[in-house]
Amino acid sequence: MLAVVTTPTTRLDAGAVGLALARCWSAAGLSVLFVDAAREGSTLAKRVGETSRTGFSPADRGLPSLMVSREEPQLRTLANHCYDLEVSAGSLWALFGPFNADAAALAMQWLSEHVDPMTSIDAVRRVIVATSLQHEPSPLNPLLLAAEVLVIVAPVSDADAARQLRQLCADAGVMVFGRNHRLLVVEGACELGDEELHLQTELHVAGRLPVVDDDRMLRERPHRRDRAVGGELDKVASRVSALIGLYESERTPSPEAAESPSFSKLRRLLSSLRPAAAPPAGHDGDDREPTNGHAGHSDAESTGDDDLAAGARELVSEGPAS
Amino acid sequence: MTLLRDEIWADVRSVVQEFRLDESAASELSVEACEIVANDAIRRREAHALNETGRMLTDEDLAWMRDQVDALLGAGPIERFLRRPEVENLYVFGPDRAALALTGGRQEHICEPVFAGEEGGFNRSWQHRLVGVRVGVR
Repeated sequence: MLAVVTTPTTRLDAGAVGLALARCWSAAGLSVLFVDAAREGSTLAKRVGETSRTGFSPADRGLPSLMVSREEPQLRTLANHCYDLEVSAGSLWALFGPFNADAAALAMQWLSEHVDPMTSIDAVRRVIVATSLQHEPSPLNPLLLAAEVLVIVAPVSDADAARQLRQLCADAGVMVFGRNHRLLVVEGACELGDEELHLQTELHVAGRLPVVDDDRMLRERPHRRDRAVGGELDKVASRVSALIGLYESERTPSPEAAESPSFSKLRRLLSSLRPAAAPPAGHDGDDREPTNGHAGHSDAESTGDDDLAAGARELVSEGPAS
Repeated sequence: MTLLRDEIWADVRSVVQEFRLDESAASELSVEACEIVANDAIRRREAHALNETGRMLTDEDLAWMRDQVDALLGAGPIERFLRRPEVENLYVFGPDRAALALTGGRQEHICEPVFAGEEGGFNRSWQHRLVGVRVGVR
């Protein structure tokens, strides 16, 4: 399971980033369940509907309809409560969150009470949960801490911002030793290198995203100028995939387990993502935010799958930061 | 302030009545079909209420809604006895007294209202019988 969270200062919506990552994985042939667990009420269904010119209502298919059915969230049940989004390969189910803020709080509570069923679903359909962090523990924390990887999307322009992010994660209760691997996706310009960011935040840098509006992130078929964003997203998706694959193999170290279908699929995913990840030479996008040129986000560009996997293995061997 | 269950029930009742009056559905008109329509309408309206206003039905509300559906489609308060598979006969001795004849010759006495009050539960069940739904014992 993967959890994608944003901070109060992140311009991108967690749902938009989570859904974009879900599209990356499904495009590589995986079956994915995207869960929109917005904290203050979600507008994601409306925005995705506007972008794709389709009407999506969470009351018809979404967390509200699932909650009032009073059924356990099993795969068969979810098939009746998720929108099956159109993807080029694989399968992508979207479980949109409610519009109302009070309902969003109830939905988060409901999700936290169904951690075990969601974990079971993750075994056959990769689950991506998207939400936001605040300076207090969230009712969703049991689910966030059950995720193998927690991806935090945040603007970290300097050392002060990095320390504030570290404090936010501590206040939100997601910096629990040994629970999951925490990755950072830096939004916008940053003057710090990956190592320095790791020292300040105790998070491993998984990638850097330019500042864009959510609508561009939600497009199914990105425009030419969005390729840079798509490329960065693919990198994040592949790094997370590598980490989850290695995490699974670490948990089940037998040779048979190392060649489990899930792990093999992730290896294939890595291979399939890499060629698509690199944007065309000389085309960085016309409105991409400048970055500091540190090696962190660009090292994956110059390395192959094996190097990427080796990097992820290194993260695994280090263990989760305390 | 109107309770959510009242709002939902007002809608559901009209949906069920429309379904029963719809000639195109006459061939499939049965208590079971009406129950499916009613339960589906309850779920859809509750989901919309949750999505837009953050309100949900409590367990008590759901039990109340179940009673309303029984009163509308079945025989009111005695419907819950008729649903029990071991009930063979039901003898009504008064508004608050009845006896269930169970399989194997057993009996069970009931000392509680077996008809709904003046608000119309009994009348609704009687009206339902008039449109041809059979309510009875085995």
